[in-house]
Amino acid sequence: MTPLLLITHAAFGAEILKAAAGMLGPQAKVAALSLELQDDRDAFALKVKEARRELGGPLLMLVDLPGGTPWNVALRLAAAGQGDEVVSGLSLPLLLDALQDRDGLSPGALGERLVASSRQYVWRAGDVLRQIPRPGGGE
Amino acid sequence: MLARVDDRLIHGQVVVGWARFLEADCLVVANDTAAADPMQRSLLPLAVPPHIEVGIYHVAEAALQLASGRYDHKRVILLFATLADALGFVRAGGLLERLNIGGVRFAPGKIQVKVAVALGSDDLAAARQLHERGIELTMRMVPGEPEEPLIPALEALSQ
Repeated sequence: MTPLLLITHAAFGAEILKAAAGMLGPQAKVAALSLELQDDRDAFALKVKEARRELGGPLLMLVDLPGGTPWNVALRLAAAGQGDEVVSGLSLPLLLDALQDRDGLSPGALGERLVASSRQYVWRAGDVLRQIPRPGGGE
Repeated sequence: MLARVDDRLIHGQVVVGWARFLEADCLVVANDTAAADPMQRSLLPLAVPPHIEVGIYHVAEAALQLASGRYDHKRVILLFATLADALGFVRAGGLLERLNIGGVRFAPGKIQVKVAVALGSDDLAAARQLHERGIELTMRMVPGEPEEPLIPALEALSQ
């Protein structure tokens, strides 16, 4: 089972993990790291390495924002050639998929699957409602 | 356009906050470590949207590049990791009127001035020298915040 490490600004990852565990039950081999405004980046990068040591690698890192410090720190780790992967755009549907589909997939393969599914994570009510036949028709 | 001290260099606050607010199309990083590291040179530009150009130079080289005029038609955010680097830039002939201190984070021995501004003796010495050269030093982490002048804040702390 691929370990997951959520790395985000503030406690976004920690809270979204709580939400996911509320639906799926307690999860093993997953952790969340929160980057606060006052945190030093290099100290944070050490925390990420330490979390990787505890979870065991190779792992898939899920971050909130491409180009943000969590992404930048994770990217450096992924570039180290240890088989780690990073996917940005962390959301609850993405996390649920990651938690449920990670058996037997490498971090890279799991990451690819999440990116391929990512459009399905965002729904618009207008599109959904249009599929319901209404008396009088129209949106 | 904006000269900023931020020890995270290119990151969310700069790309999503400042670059959008200022409609910047160019980030110039003046940092000796980044300029000397091939991995950072390739990774830093990946942190920005494609319409934003990224230049990474040694501090002194950045002064020359900006003076050369190659960025004159760009809306530039100039980034330093430390106040000492900003001083190095000015000493190398770089022009600065105002310096935004966005993030200099805490390490043991530093004084906490604001949530993301903690200054050690090197920072304070550089700040003093920049101030003596007439460069306006203000603290503002993100565009939505009010700007706070650094020197009065330091004076208030020492009272």
